Amino acid sequence: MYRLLSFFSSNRNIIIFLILEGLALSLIITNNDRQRHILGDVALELSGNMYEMREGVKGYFTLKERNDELRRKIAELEEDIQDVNGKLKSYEGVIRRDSISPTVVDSLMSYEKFRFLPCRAIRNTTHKAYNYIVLDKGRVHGVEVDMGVISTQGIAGKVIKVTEHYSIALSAMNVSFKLSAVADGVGNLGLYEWGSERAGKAYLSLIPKDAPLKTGQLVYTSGYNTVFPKGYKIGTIISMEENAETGTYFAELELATDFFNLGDLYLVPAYHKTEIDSLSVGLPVE
Amino acid sequence: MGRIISYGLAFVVYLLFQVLFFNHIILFKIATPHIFVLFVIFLPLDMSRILEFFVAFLAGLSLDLLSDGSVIGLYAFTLLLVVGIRHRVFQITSSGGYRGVGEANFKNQSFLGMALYILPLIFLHHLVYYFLEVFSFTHFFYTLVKILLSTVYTFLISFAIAVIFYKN
Repeated sequence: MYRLLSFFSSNRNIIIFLILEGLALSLIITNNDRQRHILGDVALELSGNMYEMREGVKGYFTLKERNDELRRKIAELEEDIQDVNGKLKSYEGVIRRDSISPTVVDSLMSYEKFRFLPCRAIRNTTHKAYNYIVLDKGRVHGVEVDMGVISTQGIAGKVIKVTEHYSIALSAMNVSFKLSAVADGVGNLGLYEWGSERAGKAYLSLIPKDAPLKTGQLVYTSGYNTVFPKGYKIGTIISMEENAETGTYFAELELATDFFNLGDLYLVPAYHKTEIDSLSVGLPVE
Repeated sequence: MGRIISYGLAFVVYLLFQVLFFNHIILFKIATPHIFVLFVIFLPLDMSRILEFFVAFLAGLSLDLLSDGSVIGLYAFTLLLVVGIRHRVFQITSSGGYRGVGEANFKNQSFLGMALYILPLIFLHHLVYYFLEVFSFTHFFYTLVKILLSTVYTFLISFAIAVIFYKN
């Protein structure tokens, strides 16, 4: 007994050192990825205010780039309008326009499922393994958990936490952000993962190797979830390799969204989410 | 008593600078300077070991809580590790010889001794920090480049701070 006690007292420095290191390690393991939630609502509201002030000042320095981007977007939309108008004209001979009533033709309604809510990123990290975007819209503006976040260039993230005036989104450059995706002209579904801890790059996997996948192909959201509608740009394939074991492709993507310069973003509300989710209630799992 | 106040003040200054400034001056999109490590590197050498372990742990934890996107416990772990081996590193690198804790003093260090003392500790911190953050070896070389760049970046700023504030 005495020897045991003297062992402890002569080694107490190293024992306390090891206990504290063990404590730190257990903190790391239990809090990995969930640290945001620990901070809680109050800290988010407080820091949200601070970041918004800072972003307000910073915003002036990027005004020119934002203007250019918006002008480009307007031009694109203008083209789309021309396109749609042209198509409408060609149909005019076939059906009279006023005969199309939204209450009767229900397939037209499906396009109203997603309506955008403009917002701004007031805080954004890009160099961590778990990146988050803080948005300046919250519950009072109608933000809900699981809304998709898109930029004018492509997808940006997914809302995971909402307070009164702010919300936090999982950035697409976050290890735990996963999404089903399709490549342009390829029917097979793939899995989008950032995984690489590398800014601006991501991976697409699980596409069978007989699919016509090529470098330079664009990758879009598949629409097989309630977070993003179909057809939003994710990125471009820059390199790919075959996995002989699973018989699938493993492709590297260049992300479409410039995460180093996130300014104006849009939230994509999932109007029919509850209804869609309720469909699967009661279905046997596996 | 005066020493507690001055180190408490140093803690607050380091914390604020790290969270509000150094966390945002990222080089080549991957290297971040972790200047806060200097706080534990330059704690008084004649402090009780147990006290310095607790100080390093709590200081690390408060930085973890304040820097966004950081994994809780990461700084606490690495700063404790740095404090755990700094005496040995000082012993090896001190120019005037290291006979007893009472004599240990950063002011007597030569420029080279100072650099040799800071560099391995900073490298150790970044090595453990980034591998624990990623928690895998899948992108080993990318993580390694990140560690080396951050180490150089942190070291250059740290050395300037060390020479200005700790050598006189």
